[in-house]
Amino acid sequence: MKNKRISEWSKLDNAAKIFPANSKKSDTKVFRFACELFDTVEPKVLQQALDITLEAFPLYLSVIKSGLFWHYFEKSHFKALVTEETLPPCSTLYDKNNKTLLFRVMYYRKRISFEVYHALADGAGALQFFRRLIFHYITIKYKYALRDKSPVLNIESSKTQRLDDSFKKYYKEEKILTKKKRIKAYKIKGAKIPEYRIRIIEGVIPVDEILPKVKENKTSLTIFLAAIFMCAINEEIPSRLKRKPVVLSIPVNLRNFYSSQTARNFFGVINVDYNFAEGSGDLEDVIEVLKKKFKENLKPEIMARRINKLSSLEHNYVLRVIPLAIKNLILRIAYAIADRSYTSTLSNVGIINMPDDIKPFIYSFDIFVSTDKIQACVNSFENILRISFTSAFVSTEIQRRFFKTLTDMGINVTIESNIIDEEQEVLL
Amino acid sequence: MRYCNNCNVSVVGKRKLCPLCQDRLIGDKPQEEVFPKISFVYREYSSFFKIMLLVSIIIATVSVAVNILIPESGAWSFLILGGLGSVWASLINLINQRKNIPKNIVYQVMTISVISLIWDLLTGWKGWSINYVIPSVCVFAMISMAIISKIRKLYIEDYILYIIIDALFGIVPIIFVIFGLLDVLYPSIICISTSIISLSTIIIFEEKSLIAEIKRRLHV
Repeated sequence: MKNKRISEWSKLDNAAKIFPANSKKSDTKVFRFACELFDTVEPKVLQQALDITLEAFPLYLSVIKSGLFWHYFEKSHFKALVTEETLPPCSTLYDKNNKTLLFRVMYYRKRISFEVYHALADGAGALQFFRRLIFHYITIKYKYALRDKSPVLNIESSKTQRLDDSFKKYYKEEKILTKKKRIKAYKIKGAKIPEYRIRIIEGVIPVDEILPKVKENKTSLTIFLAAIFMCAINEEIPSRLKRKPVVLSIPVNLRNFYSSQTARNFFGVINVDYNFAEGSGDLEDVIEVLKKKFKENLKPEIMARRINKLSSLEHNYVLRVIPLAIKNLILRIAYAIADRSYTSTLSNVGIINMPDDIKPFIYSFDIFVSTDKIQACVNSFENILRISFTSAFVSTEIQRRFFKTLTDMGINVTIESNIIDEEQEVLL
Repeated sequence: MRYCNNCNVSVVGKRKLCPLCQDRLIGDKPQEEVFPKISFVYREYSSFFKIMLLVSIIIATVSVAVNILIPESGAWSFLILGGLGSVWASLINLINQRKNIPKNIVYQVMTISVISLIWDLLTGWKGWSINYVIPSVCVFAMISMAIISKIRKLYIEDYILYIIIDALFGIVPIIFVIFGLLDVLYPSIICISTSIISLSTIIIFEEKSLIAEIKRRLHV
């Protein structure tokens, strides 16, 4: 008789639980990491690199199934295959009626793209996977050029560390007494692109041109960009709606607060707000206010309280035995309520590091995320800072104002974007 | 690289207009586009469904209207409405679950059972639903699931739950037998025996998979 293996399974981590209930065609909860090389991508080598990478990340071969009380990951028999990019960016990965792997690897000309369903990993977790994929691709493809060197990817984590559910690990039971009043944020409205497509507009900026401007304002890059983004949004608010504050939600990598190396989800969000009806609305003033708000929100004890608050729900026995169908409904309502408290999201993934021998083969990295509104993602590699806006709106005014502010400071900006409009004429 | 004078930005790609302000771009040497151009897809079966839906509505409206005008002919329009409702319920199930055949079969068994019970009840209880329909649908489902899982080489964890649900459901007619609700016994007896046999087969040969499946599906 053939050897029957019982397929492995594991629970979704705390942050992941919200995603299956709230994924829809308009917001698939998929994000993309892309890497632009100097040469055309070779699919066969990419497949080899993917196979090697997957050995270190067994959870990536899972599908999400629904149990009576919770969703769970189950090891699947699907093969992960690299494909040419023919799908719109951030297309659905989780569909409860059509099980597929929760990530895909695609190539188009010089670009390798890696899309992940958010329940599987957050940005920092997926970056661990993507760095390895690129590392293996380059070491295989340029074996000859690298023959005298032996590049090593500094891997910080072990296989078990990567599978860690850090929310569970760092959860401490405590009574949460203070209930913060929720701010109702200004919500951007407007005509949307058909078929739930997203428009990607990215600004490629030399790091050495923007950093002096950041230093001039005595602040950090995240705050600097957040302030410009908020001002750009403000310009679009009709004056009768000005009394509502502009609120940016900023994902925070909790691995920086705890000694976790998980490749799964381990992030929190902080909301920072600015009321343009009350403040002067100058960039300097917005930066000053944001500096204060960041400082208040990023204290370790406040981050710990957030983890505990979220996890306490999961540890509540009464909530745990509610059937999944009802839980999904509750999670959708909770998400809708939370959604009212912020205008947009700005996510700074930070500096992406690659071994010195590998760097010469890479032009830049690119990160963006699905949305039914507008969102920004930032990353930098060597001297290239890339700010990627994804937007479901037809209008590009916010993006235009954002980059206009930068170019007015004398910073060189190069725009890359996808073609959405059928009528956009293309030169031959 | 192309350049937008209005926004003061360089633009990568071969397009004529600035992605930010839709102004004309200037400059030579356009580069390759960074993203592939992906045209909008217009879902091919949506118009078929629209026609189906409209036809259903026309049939329903006309029959109710005619029925109101000639009330002496009886409330026959309800039968037509019920029939249309049943077809749509079954069809929606079929389409939603089309990628997961075992699940689809279980959903169809449930829908057909419920619909036949309702029909039987509303058309003056003659017992045909529990005499014939429910047992034969269950048996048919069990056999087709067994065949499909072999032909499509499904993995045990992809269909074990659905076989179990169907087999458990197939034992339910035992209640009808005990309470003497049945006029015709043989479809129910075949159904109950098949269910017991397939349930036992799974418990005996797939014990570990079954326990693992229960643990996964019921974890709190």
